[in-house]
Amino acid sequence: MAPRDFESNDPIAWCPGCGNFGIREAMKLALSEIGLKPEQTCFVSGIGQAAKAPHYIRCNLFNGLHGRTLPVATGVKLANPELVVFAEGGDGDGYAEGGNHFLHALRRNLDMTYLVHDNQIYGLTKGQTSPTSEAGMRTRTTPCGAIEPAYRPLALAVMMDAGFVARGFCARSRQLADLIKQAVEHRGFSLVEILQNCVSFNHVNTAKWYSHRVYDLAEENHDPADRDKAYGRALEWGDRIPLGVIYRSGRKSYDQLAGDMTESRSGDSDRVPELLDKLLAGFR
Amino acid sequence: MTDITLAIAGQAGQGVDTASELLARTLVRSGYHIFSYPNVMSRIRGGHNFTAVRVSDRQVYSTPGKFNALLAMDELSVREHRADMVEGGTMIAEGRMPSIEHHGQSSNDEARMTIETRNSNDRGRGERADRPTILRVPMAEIAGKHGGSKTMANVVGLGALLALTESGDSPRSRGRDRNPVQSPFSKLRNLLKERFASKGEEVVRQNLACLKAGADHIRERRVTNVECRMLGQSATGNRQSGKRGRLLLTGNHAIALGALASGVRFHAGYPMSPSTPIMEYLAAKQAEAGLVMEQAEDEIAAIIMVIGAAYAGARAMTATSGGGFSLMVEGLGMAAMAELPVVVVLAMRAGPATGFPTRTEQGELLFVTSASQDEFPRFVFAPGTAEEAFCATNRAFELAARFQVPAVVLSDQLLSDSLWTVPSFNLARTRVSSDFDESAWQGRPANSYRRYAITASGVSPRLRPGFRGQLVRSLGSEHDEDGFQTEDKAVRVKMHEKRMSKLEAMAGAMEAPTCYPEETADVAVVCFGSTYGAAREAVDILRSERVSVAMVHLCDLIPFPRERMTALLAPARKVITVEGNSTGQLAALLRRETGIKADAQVLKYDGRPFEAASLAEEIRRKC
Ligand SMILES: Cc1ncc(C[n+]2csc(CCOP(=O)(O)OP(=O)(O)O)c2C)c(N)n1
Ligand SMILES: [Mg+2]
Repeated sequence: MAPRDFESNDPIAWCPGCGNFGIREAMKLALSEIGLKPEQTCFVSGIGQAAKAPHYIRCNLFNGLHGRTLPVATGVKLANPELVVFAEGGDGDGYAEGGNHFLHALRRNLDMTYLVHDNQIYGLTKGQTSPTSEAGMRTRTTPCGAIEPAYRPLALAVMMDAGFVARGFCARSRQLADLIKQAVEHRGFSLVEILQNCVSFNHVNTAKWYSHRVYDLAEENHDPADRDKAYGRALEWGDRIPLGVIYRSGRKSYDQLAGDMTESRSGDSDRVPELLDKLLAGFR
Repeated sequence: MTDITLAIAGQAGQGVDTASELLARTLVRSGYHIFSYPNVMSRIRGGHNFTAVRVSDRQVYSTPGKFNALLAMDELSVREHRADMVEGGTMIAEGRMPSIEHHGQSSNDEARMTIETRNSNDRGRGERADRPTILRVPMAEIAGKHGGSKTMANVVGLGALLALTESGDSPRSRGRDRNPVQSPFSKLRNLLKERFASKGEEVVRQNLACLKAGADHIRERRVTNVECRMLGQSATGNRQSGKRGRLLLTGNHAIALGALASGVRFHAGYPMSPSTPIMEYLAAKQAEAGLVMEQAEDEIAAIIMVIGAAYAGARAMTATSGGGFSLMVEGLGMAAMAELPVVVVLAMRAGPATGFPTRTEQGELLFVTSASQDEFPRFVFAPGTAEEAFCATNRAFELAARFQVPAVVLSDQLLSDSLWTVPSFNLARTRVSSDFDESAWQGRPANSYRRYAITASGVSPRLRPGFRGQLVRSLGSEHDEDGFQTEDKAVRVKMHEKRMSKLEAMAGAMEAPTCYPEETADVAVVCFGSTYGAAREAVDILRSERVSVAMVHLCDLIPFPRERMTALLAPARKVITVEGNSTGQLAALLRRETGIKADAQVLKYDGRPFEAASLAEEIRRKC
């Protein structure tokens, strides 16, 4: 299927010039190049401007609650391992409201791809500080500048030995599509953090600001299997911001460790009386 | 009629739980009915725990009153329960000498006399009928000698306790008048063999030796307890074994089995007393049952994972207590908005916040009827017995799936933790429907599936995501029939009405309240959930005193059975509600739904279950 076959006809509710458009282009490209059919995919998202993204793609969709993206995706994947599961949302959704789920999804290492549109601000609620807002950043809720330092989720992911950790940029759709493809191919939990400009509420980290700082790890001989080096790259922020695959671990995925998950689900209702007879014997 | 209580008390870690379960099972296998309620503190070692095992030759439903015999594993238990003993009750207590005491004082002369004069039913000169007899048994020491470890002291104690059920004749004459195979003692021997077989012959041998040594300690003294002796003659007529044999299980087990009987495929949860054993039992049976289990990072994640699994097509559940349910509240609304069937077991304990973690109460009724913002249809079931818990859990799964709504099974520590005897579950009455009609979608045009299609029943056909050519779009935001988000007021009204329109059929699908022993009487005692047992037995007591009273118990609570309750309560001269909270939540619900104002209320909020005798007394005063 061609990239445009993945377009849904839901009218897009993003601001003109929003970085999310570039992310959507990359997603359509990746899905087409992987050769997936829309019905094979399941996109789970939370609430926020980023979390609207799956509405604009033809896919199975579960669009639920702010912050609860990963637990839905976990339930879907555990109950139907054949679906290619994507979880998608913003920095507030994934790192603040859903922060604990993020930590445990990294541990759990289910085979799914998590895309975080990181615009370092709360877009949908009109410009409050986010866990990834830089210290000192003035927002509607931090008029004197944010006191807390910014969170570095990629470093956390490396620390947690996440399966696949990468960073893309909304203005580089081609590279981002390649990262998404690799994330899907990776068996285990894949984090793709996407730098995304917010034209309405983040006037510091603009598309230009990112463009001047990003560089491609592929051009620097970075070895994603080297965890110590990966940790350094994951922490790198400021004048130089790395893009590309930061870390790949050799960790086995949940399904590899749990055995064939479809097998355990094979129990059908015809077997129920037999099963119950057996279990009830244990209470006599 | 036999109705006696054997209790076991001691510190956490002294094996009170194991010993009481072994005792209860032994007596069930000997043909008795059991109701066993654990009084435990929220700690792993020390403190004071006790379990009262009520034994009867007919079905019993509530916590016992006084104890006929007590196995006291420590000194605190002796002091603590002196006042709980019936007249002439017997305590078996840890310790060496003197071998027999009365009310804490002791004299060897008196002890000897008691032994000498008490070899049959007649009470001896040395015994004061109003004080418990205390028999000292050095359980830890005997356990060390015969079992190699004092951890088997509870088995020694069990042997001593069961020796009280023997005739008290000389050891040589024992077994002459009765078939020894049927004695509770030999049932316990067999049970220990089964239980420890996997740990090897040596462990079995040690346990049996401890059991015998404990029993011999009592046998040698030839003491006996009249009521306990009756247990030695196994109850006749219900000695069924094999497939038809009686079950002994907790309410939590009944719920877990009800879920398995309903084809549950996914459980996510986070441990919280008193619901945790549900998750643990399911985890132990996971492979056999083809079930996916996930311990979530918190209760928010647990219910949200369950929703994800339900969306993907699995019958899915979670179990928690009030604190965890508070965290699940937003998720409950999402299940409702996305129209997905999820089953949540809520086992109540006492108090807001952490409250009394291991105690019972019914303070969450109004909370569960309206938990989560705005309005949506839901089911609430509040079973009264283990048997009903099994059936209600099955109804919860079936009806949640049929109407695509969340369902709550409301339990509490009393129902969840107590051991119940059940005649066996009626599997013929449990159902597992198919939630998907995929054949209907074969060959339909691509992209024609509408997740929220408007239908006459308000229920839209479900399809599993992954079905060829169709896409399934589920939303927590307001949406149109295709699952596209909308801000359109007309669509909002239409979709809200679609969801709410299920309510009438939902109410029709529920089971009627249980009336005991008949539908109408002068006084109607109205209750829900685990109050069933005490209310039913209180009604028995009152009726034996010729009070015209009947119980109306609500298991299927929400949607509230308005018409049925109005009709049932109309003839009653007096309506008395009985519930475990301080404001009368059932009474409030009854009034809100039917306009009927309870004439009197019996309320309890001390973390302890109702007792039939004192409840009967309270009802009598309010009649
Ligand atoms: C429980 C809950 N709390 C708060 C909100 C309000 N809310 C919606 S989106 C959002 C933050 C959005 O920021 P982000 O996730 O970064 O997404 P963005 O809009 O920037 O793409 C908030 C606070 C909500 N919907 N639910
Ligand atoms: Mg954001």
